[in-house]
Amino acid sequence: MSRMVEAHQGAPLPGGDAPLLKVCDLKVEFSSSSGRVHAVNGVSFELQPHELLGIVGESGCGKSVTSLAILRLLAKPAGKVVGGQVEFDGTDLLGLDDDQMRDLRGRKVAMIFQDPMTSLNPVTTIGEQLTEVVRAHTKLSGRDAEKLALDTLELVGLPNARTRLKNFPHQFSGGMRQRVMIAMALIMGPKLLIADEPTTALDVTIQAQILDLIARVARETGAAVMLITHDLGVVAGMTQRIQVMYAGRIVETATTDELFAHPRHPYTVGLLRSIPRLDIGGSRELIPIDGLPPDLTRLPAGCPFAPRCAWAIERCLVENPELTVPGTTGSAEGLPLGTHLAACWNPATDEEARAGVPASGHISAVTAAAQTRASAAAAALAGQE
Amino acid sequence: MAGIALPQQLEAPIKGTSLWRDAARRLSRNPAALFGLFLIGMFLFVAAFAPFISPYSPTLGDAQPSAHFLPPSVTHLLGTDLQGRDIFSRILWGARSSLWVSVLSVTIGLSLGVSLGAVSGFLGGWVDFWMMRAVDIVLSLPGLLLTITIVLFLGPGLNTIALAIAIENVPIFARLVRSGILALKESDFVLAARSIGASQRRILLQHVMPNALTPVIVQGTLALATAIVDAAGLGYLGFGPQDPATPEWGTMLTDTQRYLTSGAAFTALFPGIAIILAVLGFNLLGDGLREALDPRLKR
Repeated sequence: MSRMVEAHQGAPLPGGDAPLLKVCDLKVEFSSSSGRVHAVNGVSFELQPHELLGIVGESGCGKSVTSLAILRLLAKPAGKVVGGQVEFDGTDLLGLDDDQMRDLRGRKVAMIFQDPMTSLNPVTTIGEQLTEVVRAHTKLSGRDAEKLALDTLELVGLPNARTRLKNFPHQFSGGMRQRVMIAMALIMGPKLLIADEPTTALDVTIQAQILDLIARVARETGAAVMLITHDLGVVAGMTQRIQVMYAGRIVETATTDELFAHPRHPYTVGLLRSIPRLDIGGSRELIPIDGLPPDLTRLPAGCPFAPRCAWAIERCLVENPELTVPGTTGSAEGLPLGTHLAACWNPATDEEARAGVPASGHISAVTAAAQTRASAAAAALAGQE
Repeated sequence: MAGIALPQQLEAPIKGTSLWRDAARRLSRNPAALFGLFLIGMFLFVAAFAPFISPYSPTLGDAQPSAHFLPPSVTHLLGTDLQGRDIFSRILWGARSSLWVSVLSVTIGLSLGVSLGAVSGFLGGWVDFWMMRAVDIVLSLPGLLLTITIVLFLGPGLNTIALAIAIENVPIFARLVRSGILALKESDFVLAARSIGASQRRILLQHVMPNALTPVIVQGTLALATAIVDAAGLGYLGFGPQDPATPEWGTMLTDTQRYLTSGAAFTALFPGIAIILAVLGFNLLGDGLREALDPRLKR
């Protein structure tokens, strides 16, 4: 390939330690009436202790399913891990029995959910719901548990925590409820915090507060954070590294600065063009990505993004690319964490990424195929006449 | 970030208001429900204090035919029946029978039904399948026929009537709880509870059941009304208490039905009104509770 793709590298992340979380070739399927849904198709990644990782992708790309699979909270019996390993802190999570897994949840790995309006039990006080976490994992007395609940509520910045313990969820605003949810996740001091779209259901004015809060408490408690979102703007300010997911696979990963400056995968380019950016300046049109995500019950042989991709070449339609250093082939195995990787046969260059379209002269293989079909049909028609 | 620590004094302490207190407040603004509560209060009062407020013994008759079928008067407020017994006193005592049957039948039916429904909904799988098929079978039998058959086998009396009505109620409660649990099992807060490591037992008892019980409370109140009607119906058909010392409203209707057209209509009218008022009370309260407890109607 003659096209030159510069190998930009962000500063390597603090590596070397054993990873806190290691997901290896994870595959998740759901059985549904219309067949097997291949929700996650061979996702591999690592997370270092204290790291803030962003996972980005549109609805249905498998980002939430990946996190639920790690915690083994997939809806039974429809959802099933059909392959791969999940290693957390040296423990094989998929091999644990149910009791061991239950003990781990909330104590070492905790999760913050999308909608704080429905994620708290409406009929019990938040004090009870917080101390419930403590009592599920320790033998602390009621008073000590309440003290811990109080301290955690103060950590997340809930005013009047002492009186608020006796309140019911409906007496809190959405932002305050999300603080309570964060307190519930943090109360046992977990090593990993999975935040699944923690700001999606919140008012825009509250979103920044909650993100700041998550970043601050992660720093103060030393927890690593996996921040799942469909909004690149959310992860821009707080994560060190980003993974972009599409159709149940990681299609690009890099440090945050690197990804925003030099997106390589056409899907990432499209995502970046669809959000408003203040750092570029000037007025700029927001451009949606044409087409729809693929039907996960029938995955194509080639790259699942190819049908929507202006960069697509013939190879994209027949062969699904693996994650590699953009512009090279060969395994990404053994490269340091934070290396810029993309799963693409024809990655975008910086100029193309800025323009949002492939360099002039390139015709997407999909368009080309359609044109071939059209001209063949026209020729056939002409032959009939 | 300034937004994180609000100055403490900005926010006045907010009193803990539970959903129940909230519901009670909404109920107190519903005149129909309050009237229902008043009727139920009367019913309970009469049942509790029948021995003290009834002017005559309910069993005290008069052999003199001249004392039979006396119309309402100052001495006999609601008249006398075919044996010269005071109808007012018998109605007061009859409230005890109705209360006993309705409370006993709903207690048995509700606790059995709720337990079975909870197990069925929470366990799922083949347990759920077979339990629900059993429920389908019981529900496909005509209600009154089923209760009559059960009473025929067990013999007449207040307790057997209560048991028969309870058996009729079990599948209704089981279904109600099961459907609630199926929906709640998928709810966000149950997933959140699982994510913090709560045990299955705790999730069922602390998170699922309290939320599944609101429709059960409403249905329970309405079932009390149905039980009173059913008990009166079974009493009317002759399956009530065989001891004349235990007055029962339905049985009172049977006793005098042959004399209705010969100028003694009041002998059936008054027990009938008693049945209607008691049933109306529970129905009004049940409807009021449905509105007060439904979170979607929350204002």
